[in-house]
Parts: sequence; C-alpha cells; structure tokens
Amino acid sequence: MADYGYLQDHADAMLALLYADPDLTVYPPEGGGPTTVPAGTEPPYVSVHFAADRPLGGRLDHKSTRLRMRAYAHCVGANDIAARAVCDLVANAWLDVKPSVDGRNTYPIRSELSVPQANEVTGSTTVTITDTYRLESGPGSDGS
Amino acid sequence: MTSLDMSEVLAWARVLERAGDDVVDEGKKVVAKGSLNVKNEARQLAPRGPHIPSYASSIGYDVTTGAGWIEGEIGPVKGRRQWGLGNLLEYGSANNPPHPHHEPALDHEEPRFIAACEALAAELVTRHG
Repeated sequence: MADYGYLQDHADAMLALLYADPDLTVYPPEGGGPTTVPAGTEPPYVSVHFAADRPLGGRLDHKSTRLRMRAYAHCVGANDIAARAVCDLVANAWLDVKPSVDGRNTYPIRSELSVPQANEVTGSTTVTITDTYRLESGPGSDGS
Repeated sequence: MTSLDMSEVLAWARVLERAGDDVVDEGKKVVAKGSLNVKNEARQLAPRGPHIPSYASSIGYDVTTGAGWIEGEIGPVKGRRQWGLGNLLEYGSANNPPHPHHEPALDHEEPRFIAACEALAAELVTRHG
C-alpha cells in the first residue's frame, strides 16, 4: 500500500471504520479518490471531509507533535429521519473509538457538533446534517 | 469533648464570597477580550474570493451576562452582508470541503483564555484576602 504520510493515515483510519459498516455508503469510496458525490447519487450516504492542524504537543521540548484531525461527516438522507439514521451509523462507527495509526498514539474520537444544513435549493429532495468529529494523536504507538 | 476552631475556614469562605461578588464584572472583561481575539482570527482565517467579498467582515461577537454567568458569542452577525454563508463555509457540504475558521480560532484562544481566567481568580482572591 502506498505511503501518503500520516495525515492520510489518520483519514484512512477513520474512513476504514465507516467502510466496515455495510449499511453505510461512504464518499470518498474505498480505494480513494476525491470526496465528490457522483451526480444523481441516491441518498442515504455520508460524504466525509477532513481538516487538520498541528498544535503543540504539551511537552517540555515545545514540539508541535500533536495532530488534531477534524472530520466533517455530511450525512445525507431523503428526509430528516433518513439523515438522522445516517448520523447514527456514523456515530456508531466513530464515537469513542481509538483507531489504530502506525507510529501514533491515538485518542478516542470525540463528537464536537451536529449542524443541520439549510437546503434552499428549489425542489431539493435531500436533507443534510453535518456532524463534526475530532481525532487527536501524539507520537508513539505505545502510549509513550 | 472535642472543639474545632473554624475561624480560619470561615474567613476563607468570606474571601471567596467577596471575590465571587466581583467575578462577573471582572470576568466580563476576560470573556470580551477572548471573544475579540477569536473574532479577529476567525476573520483572518475566513475564506475570501470574488464571490464572498463581505463574508469575513460579517463575523462579530457580543458578550452577555446574567446572575452568575458570562457568555461570549462569536460568529456571522445576522443581517450583515453574506452572514448566511457562515454555516456552509465553516462546515462545507457533501460536495464542498469545509473552510474551518471559527473552530481553529477558538482552539488557538483556549489556552490563553484559561490562563487569563486563572490569573483573574488569583487576583480576586488576593484583592479580598
């Protein structure tokens, strides 16, 4: 498997947890590629984007060893009930789970926020709820 | 028979009570400063482009207080031009990546805000001690 660096490793680790649920349709799909939902895709599905920053690690040497990855899960359903059901599946896959990332000590994934998205497109047939999760990690895979 | 001298404990309780009386007025300044910092950084980090010329300047803050609480609220101010794009820009959508600008600003302010609260607590206790 290609090595795209540990930022991608964190994204892969989170996506793998979603792929493990056969009831979830996930974008980007397994195998990679951009997070673009093909035109005409029928809900329900979840489209995931990531944003990361690297704050200080809180150690005496003041190195920026920490990685904070926010995952934005856009849970799309044909109506509110379906969108909430997708949110539930995502929460079941992620919440409080410690994913495994080589060379990193990961902390449990935490939920930050759930934001229903206003959809003002005329004739829109989908409902989106955006849930934000946070995965943090530090150096070392043994808790050191 | 056992007796217990509570005088110093009661004196300490009075110090904390008097410090508590001042905490909303003084704490409001701390929350206002923290909110201002978050607002300024959120504006700096906000996405820009020809289609969103006014969005960044729609971000504002206000501070409200009540009996025993202080609240700072930072975000696009309803009614300012392009304020309604905040949700979409911050969190993205199924086909648009997010441009986080409020949450990172809040992350960066957090340690400074906690340090300022600790300093305020120490100052109020010293003032009334």
